[in-house]
Amino acid sequence: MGSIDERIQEEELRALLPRLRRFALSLVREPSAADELVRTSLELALSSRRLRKATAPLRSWLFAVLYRRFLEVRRRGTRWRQLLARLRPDAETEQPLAERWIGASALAFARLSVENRAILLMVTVEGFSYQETARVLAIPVASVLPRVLHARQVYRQLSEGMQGVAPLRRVK
Amino acid sequence: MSAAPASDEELHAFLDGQLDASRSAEVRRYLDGSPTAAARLTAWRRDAEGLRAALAGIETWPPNPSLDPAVIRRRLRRRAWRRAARALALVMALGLAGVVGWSSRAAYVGPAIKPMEDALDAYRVFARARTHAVEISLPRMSLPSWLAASLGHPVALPDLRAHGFRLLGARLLATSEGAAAMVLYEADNGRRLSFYLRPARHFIPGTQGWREKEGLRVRYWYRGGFGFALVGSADDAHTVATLRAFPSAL
Repeated sequence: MGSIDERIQEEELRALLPRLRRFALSLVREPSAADELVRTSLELALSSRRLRKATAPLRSWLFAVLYRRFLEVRRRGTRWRQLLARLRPDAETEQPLAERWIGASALAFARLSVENRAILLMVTVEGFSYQETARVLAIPVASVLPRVLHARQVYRQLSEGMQGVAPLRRVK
Repeated sequence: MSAAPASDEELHAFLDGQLDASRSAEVRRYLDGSPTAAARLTAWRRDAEGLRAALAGIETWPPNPSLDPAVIRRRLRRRAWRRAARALALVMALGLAGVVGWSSRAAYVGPAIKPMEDALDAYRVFARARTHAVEISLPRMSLPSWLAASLGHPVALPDLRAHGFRLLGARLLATSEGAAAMVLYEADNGRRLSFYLRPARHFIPGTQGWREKEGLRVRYWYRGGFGFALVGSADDAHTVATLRAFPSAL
């Protein structure tokens, strides 16, 4: 049942799973929503014929699929949230902070805009090249570096602003 | 020897290892010669390490079995099978419902009829035969009156003498819509050309055109409930020129 190639593919995907989950979490900032994003992205990836072709590295292609899916969900969700906001003006508009990430640095990161979070996660945390980053975010390569610099400056400001703020919870 | 100062952007690119080797070496030299720039870089590096540490620990996250690629693939396949089964059931239901309505037209199956295909067939079968290409030949009978009598209606035969083709004779043929006739002509070089006519109710009057198939060329037109065609060798320039002259020459 299933070919050797499929088994190998599944192993490769399995190896990338933790980083995909981290990327998803950096985007949606809530663990179950992040896993749902990863699941639907994997469905898209496994249904795609492009998975069989070994052109671009699997990692950047998967991240690109996930990011595209995230944008799509967010686009559709915006209208719904706007409707909710009109019905209940006091409704929560900010996403709950991730339980998995605590401390000043994580808080500062969570406060960044989603574009800044995405680019910092890829370049600083994952160590993607600027080329790969451009491919995932579907932006010109030349715009990666200015965006990285800007994101890091905002992150620095937020981190400094959070100095002296006690952590929300003790790590168990 | 101090290198050119590096911009902020270049420092970050250097930090990310995204500078090419030569510029990277230059930046390193610049940093060696500028403590303030080196301090700035160290600060950025510390921020980066802090962020990496804050977002680390992914291996310790509780695994989620519904994310396993093999599980997802199996689920996708099951979904696809169910979808295909539903579609098949629908097709069969429609098919079963349609059989009663279709059985009376079951005799008419097959590809759509191409215009004057039978003209091509008639030429292929009869036209090049040395004997019995035609069943009625001149000068025994007046061909037009024979044709009119056989087909039940008058026929205007093309005069191909100006094109160098002389009349040989005719053959009566059968079609599902009634009698058809193939009139054969021959040029001095032995090339033969046929004029084919038959009742044709399926084509709108005014339809016309030409086709080539297996070395034969047919020029056809439909008028007054009849189809007409001239058939000859596609590789004979004289034949092709003659064909082109019709039906305007009629």
